[in-house]
Amino acid sequence: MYIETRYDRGIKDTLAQVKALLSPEVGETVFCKENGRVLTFDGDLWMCDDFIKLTNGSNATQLQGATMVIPQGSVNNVVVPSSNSYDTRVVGVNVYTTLAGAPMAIAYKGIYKVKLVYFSTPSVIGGFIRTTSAGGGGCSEISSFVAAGFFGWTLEVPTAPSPSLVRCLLRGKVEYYF
Amino acid sequence: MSYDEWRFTFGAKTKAQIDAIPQAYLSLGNSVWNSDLKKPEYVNLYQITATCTNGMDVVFLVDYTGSMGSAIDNIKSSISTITNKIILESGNNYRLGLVVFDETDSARVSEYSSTAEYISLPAIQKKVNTGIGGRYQWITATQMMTTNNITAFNTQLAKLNTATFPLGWGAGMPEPADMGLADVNSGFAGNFRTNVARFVILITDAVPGGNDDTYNQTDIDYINNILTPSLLASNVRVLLISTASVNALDTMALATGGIVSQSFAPDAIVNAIGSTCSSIAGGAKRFVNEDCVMLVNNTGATLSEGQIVRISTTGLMDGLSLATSSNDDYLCGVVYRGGANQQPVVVAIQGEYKVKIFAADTDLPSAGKIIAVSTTPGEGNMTTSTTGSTNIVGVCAETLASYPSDRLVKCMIQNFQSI
Repeated sequence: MYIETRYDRGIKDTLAQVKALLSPEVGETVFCKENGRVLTFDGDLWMCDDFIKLTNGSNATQLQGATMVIPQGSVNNVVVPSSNSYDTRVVGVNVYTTLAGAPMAIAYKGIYKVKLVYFSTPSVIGGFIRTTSAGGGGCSEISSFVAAGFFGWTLEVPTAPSPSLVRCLLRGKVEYYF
Repeated sequence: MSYDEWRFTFGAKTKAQIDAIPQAYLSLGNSVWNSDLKKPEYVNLYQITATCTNGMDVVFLVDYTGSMGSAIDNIKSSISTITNKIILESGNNYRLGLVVFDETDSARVSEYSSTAEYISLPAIQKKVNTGIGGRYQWITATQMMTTNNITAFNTQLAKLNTATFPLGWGAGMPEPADMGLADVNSGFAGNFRTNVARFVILITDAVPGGNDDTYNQTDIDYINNILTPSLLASNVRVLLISTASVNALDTMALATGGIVSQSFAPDAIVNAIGSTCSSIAGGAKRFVNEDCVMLVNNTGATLSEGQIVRISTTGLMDGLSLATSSNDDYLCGVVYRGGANQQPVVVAIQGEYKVKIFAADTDLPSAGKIIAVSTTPGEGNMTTSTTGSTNIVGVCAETLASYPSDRLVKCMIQNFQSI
């Protein structure tokens, strides 16, 4: 006999809708269509195996898709928006809008939206995404070669001018040597 | 919620059992415990872009032998019901083609061959294949696919089974439907458009006979191993309307995502179109676990478990190509659940999964060996080595005394490196 799997908070279309759920309790679950994962509330954030939790070490709110890096010589467990080209300390991209100093869910693998600030028009599907000096957590797309700071590939053509949230496949634990 | 309250929708199943669950039973978020992986998996939904509402290219491929007269007349009298359904489903963005096939022996030519109608058709729309055993296969496109061509299509359809274009001949019982399908797939009624739903509606009362008027293992092998993969590669769905006994065409139609109906009633065709369009629009559902992502097969062929894939740069959103070369910066994972061309597949991007060994590799895999992409074009399979490589996929996790028949070997997929 088939039975329905019950998620405490049902099924949501987007991660933003998940983030907006009111008064979740630790251990509650929700299925999110945007990333196709079951998310569990850990007391701070809705988490899944694609995410790790660190702290927004910047002095500004970070939006979905910002590329986050571990700053050299900083305090423990802190990430900041990328601001240097070829920064190999990249962790992944911010999943939810996160206030300064607040816990942050960072997607390091899977398919997630990434804020592109440099890309050709039309962008290349299968372009390499990497950290850039543009600031604000934006990353750039390079169509022709892998460079330091690479962390995934674009899967679609941006539909809006730069900066644009673009669907990307994030590759966890990539090790590149140059 | 306590542990006791947790329920997987489909309980615990092996991968093979999970993959056998019909799509119709799956709903977004349904769960199962994969007892092979020892992981939970959840139904994800992928919306395919080329749905019927994006447009439809439909070729009617009609058995034009003597026994089909009443069936053809029946369809002619109700064709508006069928075409209205196509117009509705396609949002008035459609193209219709009409191809007939029959077969003669060395003693005669097809009944319509001397008609002005046949003679006036362009040579490119007429094919008479010299087969085996004095058999000749006649395949004729009486209407090419052009944009919103309902008027022209109806005109050509109305000529069937009349003095203008009389029924052809059927030498023996099997008829060359398989040859007709191959021709239509190759553009005999016009090339199919991209990004629209592609259909062939095959109407017949006979088993397929290839070029020798005989239905045997050769035909079955051809349909299973050549024709079906080529239809899948073209993303052409076959709706088989047939009163013949079950044969390889039935398997082929279902494999393409089409259906089989054993009734010539026009309603059966209308229902076949409607249900297939609904199936496409409903999206493709696949079980996915957290080691995997769902992407789209853009290889032009079917992808199967264990093949190593790369991000496709040919412009298809979420597209995948086969890994074929060394130093490939686009390597992204290994297929866990395969699928036809233009269909979603589930790709493992980390973890312990089976990888397919390159067929010519004679170096038995053993735990700890480095696995890398075979450079043989089109393989997408791995080769093993005890040393590093420029295109590492992972590391063998098991030692084998001999190759398994499927050449799938358990490996740790990790660190797609470019060194």
